[in-house]
Amino acid sequence: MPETVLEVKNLSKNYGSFKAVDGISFSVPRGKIVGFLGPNGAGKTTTIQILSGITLQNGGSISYFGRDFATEREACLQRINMTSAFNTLMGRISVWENLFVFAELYQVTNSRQKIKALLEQLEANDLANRLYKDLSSGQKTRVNLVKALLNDPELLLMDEPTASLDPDIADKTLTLIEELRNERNLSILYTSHNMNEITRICDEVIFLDHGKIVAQDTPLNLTKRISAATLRVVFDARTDALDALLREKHFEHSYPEHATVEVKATEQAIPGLLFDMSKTGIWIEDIEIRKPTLEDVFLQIARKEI
Amino acid sequence: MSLRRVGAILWQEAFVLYRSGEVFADIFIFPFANIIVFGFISLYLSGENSETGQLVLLGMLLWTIIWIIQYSVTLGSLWNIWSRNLTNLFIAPMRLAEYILAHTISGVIKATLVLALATLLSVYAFDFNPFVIGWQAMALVFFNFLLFSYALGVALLGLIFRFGTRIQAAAWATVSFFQPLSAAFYPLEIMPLWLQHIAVLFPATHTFEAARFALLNHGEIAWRLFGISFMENIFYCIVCTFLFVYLYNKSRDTGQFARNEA
Repeated sequence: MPETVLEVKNLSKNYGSFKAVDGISFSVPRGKIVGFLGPNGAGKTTTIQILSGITLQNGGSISYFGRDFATEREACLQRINMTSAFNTLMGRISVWENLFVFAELYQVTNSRQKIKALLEQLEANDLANRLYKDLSSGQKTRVNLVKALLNDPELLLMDEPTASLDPDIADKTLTLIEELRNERNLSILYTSHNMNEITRICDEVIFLDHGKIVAQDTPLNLTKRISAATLRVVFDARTDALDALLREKHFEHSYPEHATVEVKATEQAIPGLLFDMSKTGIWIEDIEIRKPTLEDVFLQIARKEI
Repeated sequence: MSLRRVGAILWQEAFVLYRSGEVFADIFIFPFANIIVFGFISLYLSGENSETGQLVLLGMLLWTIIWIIQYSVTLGSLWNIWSRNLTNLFIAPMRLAEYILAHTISGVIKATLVLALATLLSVYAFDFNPFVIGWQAMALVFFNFLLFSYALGVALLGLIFRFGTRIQAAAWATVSFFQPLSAAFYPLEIMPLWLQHIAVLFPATHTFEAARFALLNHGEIAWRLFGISFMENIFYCIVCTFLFVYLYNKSRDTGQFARNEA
């Protein structure tokens, strides 16, 4: 059983009568990446803000490494760090100067060597003397990561770290996060709107909606919650026989184009269905099977379909 | 309390001062421009009465202490809010007291430096040395102004944390509100009586009166005035510190603290 680095119990936050976070409980095991997903206003950012101590909760408890965050704030914060697309470093001073300030705040031993080593590891040593405001979004993300690693955190809170990055830089950033996790056995609580990112790097996903946890599982198990795949078949001409077959077998279907049908079916039913379709006399020109993704789960949860 | 974390904030202040023309202008250019203007006014007034000119210039030199310390306590945080860096600082294991202490120390260092340079300017350009009031009186003035500026600075900082940057103009404007009320450039007795009743509520008024007394009486210390100023300062420091902590917690409770950088 892996050690728990973060344990949240019955966390709640109200803004007047609006419940931003409504009694959520979850934990982050050591070395695991837990993804936080949910539509806008679901409570993800509020939760991250509470976990980092910049917003106060109304109820519930947070403990890091078995220590109560409310009473041992300083000791907890010394062992965690955070990086967010919505926070930047001081723009008017250099990258090195920014990092030096944070190294001193975290009381890092041999701070100058530490900064140098991390800048080299994240291939950002050429940025050290540049003003932070002059960096590109990708460079800022890398420097923010250096800042977040200065105190060798055991848990990293990452709030949409790849937002505003182009796909190539986002991909490199994700690779970097994966490497860091493997090297340091780092635990990460990761929020993102990007389902592909979450599927790629998270060991566990928590879906939030209206401040409540509505689903919590591995990405694979979550996608299994949607049994139906989408079968898209392009054929030579539409026939009544095909339509009759789909109705008879009670398959939900639609015709996005004249000679194309999309059918919702379980993965197990698809081979048999294709066989039956071929017997209706149509000439199949193309077949595409789209398995359910985390995005489908996300959309269906948001629409309260599952 | 960690001196290293206090030092970290002081390093940030030093880097910003070195890199930012605006901060340099606010701290050095504008006060020196004011001192030059008031220096010439003092020369002009010296034709009538040499003491009057000196009193006005002394008021300006000492006002610089209040301005710089309050500016440092309040503006240091605004620079971090504008850079969206304040959250990064507050998720570090830093205590609120360390943060405020660092900005206060930064203000004291800047005010000492500016006062020293302004004294040199005043001596060489206008033949007036503010230290004629005596080192002891100057130390008491500086200490009382430090307390007053701290109280003003943390109250404003609390308001900015609580209500966001929409009230950031208060960081510059509020201190100007106290300038006429604290009789910086003229004796308290020339103010209308009803205004005197208000002016005596502010510790800076008694400190300026004590400084003028020392100038006119060859460095004699007006202990009663410094004593009243000190007691009022202690009261304001306690009230403003509690107010700041309340506003900071309220800001975190309402989510405004995180939204300040949105």
